[in-house]
Amino acid sequence: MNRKNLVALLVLAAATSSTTQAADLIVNVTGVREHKGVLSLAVYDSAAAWDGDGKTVAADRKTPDADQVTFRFTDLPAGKVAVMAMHDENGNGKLDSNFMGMPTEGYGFSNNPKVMRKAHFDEAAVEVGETPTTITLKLR
Amino acid sequence: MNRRDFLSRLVAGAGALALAPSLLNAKTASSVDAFAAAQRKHPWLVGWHGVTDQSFAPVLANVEGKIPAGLRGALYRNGPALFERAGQRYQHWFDGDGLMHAWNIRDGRIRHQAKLVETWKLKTERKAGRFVIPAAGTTIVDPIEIRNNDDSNTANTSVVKIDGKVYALWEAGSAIELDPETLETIGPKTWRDDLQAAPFSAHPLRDRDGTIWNFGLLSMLGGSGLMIWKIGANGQLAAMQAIKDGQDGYLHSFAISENHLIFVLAPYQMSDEGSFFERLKFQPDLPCRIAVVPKNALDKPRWFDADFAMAYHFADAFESGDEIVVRAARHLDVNEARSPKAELMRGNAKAPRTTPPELVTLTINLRKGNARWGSTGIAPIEFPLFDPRARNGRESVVYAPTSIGKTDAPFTNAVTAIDLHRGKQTSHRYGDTIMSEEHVFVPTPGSTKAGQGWLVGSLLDYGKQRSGIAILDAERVDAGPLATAWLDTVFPLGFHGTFSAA
Repeated sequence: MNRKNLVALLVLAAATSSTTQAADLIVNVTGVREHKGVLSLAVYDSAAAWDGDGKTVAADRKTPDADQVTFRFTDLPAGKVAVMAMHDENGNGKLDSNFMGMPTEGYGFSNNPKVMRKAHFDEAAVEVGETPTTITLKLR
Repeated sequence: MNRRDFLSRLVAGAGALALAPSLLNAKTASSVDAFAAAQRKHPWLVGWHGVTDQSFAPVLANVEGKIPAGLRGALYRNGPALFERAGQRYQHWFDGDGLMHAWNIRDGRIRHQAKLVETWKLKTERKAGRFVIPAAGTTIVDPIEIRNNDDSNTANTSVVKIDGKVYALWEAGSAIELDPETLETIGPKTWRDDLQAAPFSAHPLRDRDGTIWNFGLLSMLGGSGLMIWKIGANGQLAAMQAIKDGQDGYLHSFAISENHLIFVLAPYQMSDEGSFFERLKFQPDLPCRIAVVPKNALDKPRWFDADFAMAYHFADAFESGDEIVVRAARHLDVNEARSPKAELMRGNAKAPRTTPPELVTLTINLRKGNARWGSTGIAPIEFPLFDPRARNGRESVVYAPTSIGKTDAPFTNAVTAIDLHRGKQTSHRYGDTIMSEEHVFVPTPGSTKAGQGWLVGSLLDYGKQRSGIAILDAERVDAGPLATAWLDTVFPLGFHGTFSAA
């Protein structure tokens, strides 16, 4: 093995080890309009997964009973994660949209990016590490 | 839940959220103080001052003259009215939250009440204590993210009664149902599940068989073309049809003739920054595209070109041989059309007066496949209405506010009845300090001849700082009001109304 390859492997190992540390993320979801249905949160750790080529690293769902609902995710890989929230208000198993594709139920992204489209992973990404991270996700 | 489905839908919907503001480099809304100072010098600016966040309990108006015995019912009127919060003032007239008025005429008395339409926007901003929702014509500083176009719905433009239900109308979102008696807000109307939040314009038209036709402009929401609504007299959705064209066009109202729906789209492009009306740029070098849609084949529009023109309001339309003739109030000043009375909204009372809108005709030749505008020379004209019982141009009269003589306020001060076929026009000027608004036509009970009825129109007397309505004989407009009814208070000018006979 030459030295360059070794360095590359070490860097890779370091990066890999950092993502194996456990991290906690507390998400306060605000702006819940209906105290019914299913509020789902999905956590991703890569742009590929965020865009549909991969799995969530965590997910949870609750029936909201207040304008604000708190979710706690534990043992996440440390590093960048992004959270997508959907509120299936009428409990029909999907996020409803109208014939134009306009969402008609609640949704939101971590970091609350000021974009009028689905956020990109980088726009929604937050850092999680050894100490628990608390964020506010505003439903729209 | 199918996540991929959500993603694809959300991406598809993203372009649709075009009411989004530019978030950075925002101009602050114009100063409340500057407007108030201007209003002290120019009392007619009360027409654009607006109301605070409150409702207005029923009061009896002071009636002068004699209310016709057969005239019973309610004049509902809507208009943007809440323009200021937390020191910010909207810069565009179309941004204010809708205030619904009801003038109930019964037993020789006229009772007025008014309530703000309790939209999601109004409730959210009341809670926030400031404007936080992207507006149609003003850039809002630090807005919240909205779910879809209905979050911006101000329900501020017009009102319609369908199958006994009253709806406050905007143009880029749902009709909002109100209680016909109390004006309490019931909520957004969803005509069919997949049409939630779909645009339902402020100018539905009632056909002879009771069918309600309307449209929604999809291109202003990031889609393409427009959708046509057909609502049965029973208040149920009968059909929805989307039609497209290669060129984006804006329209605010439309016309119906015996067999056709006529949509005239004024070409525009959108620039990058600002609210919808800040980004909208009319393209006078491009033609208007006109869709003529058979009522019995909504998916088969015929498209025509005509020279550029911008008209918010279309009046009646008649078919004769190969031709359809439509009447409209054309705005010759396209910048004024983009933001009517913009300077007045800022309190700039001394701004140069803009070219007044003119009554024009649009003649569409179905055989030759062309369309052309015709001038009438009659101006200023806005908010034209008509008796839908007229079956041809010979029977038709257009009723509209106009201006006669000198006036301090850059607004209409009179009402006129225009018989284009005979070249006859009769008018009434209300007075030196009175601004006149839309006058709705109310047929005399039992009458069958087009034109037999009353005009009921609203007024703002800035000399006495009071609002009111006037009732005129539609066949004798020049005789002046049969009755007027004044409040002790003054409200901002509004846009459109409808009369619901009791």
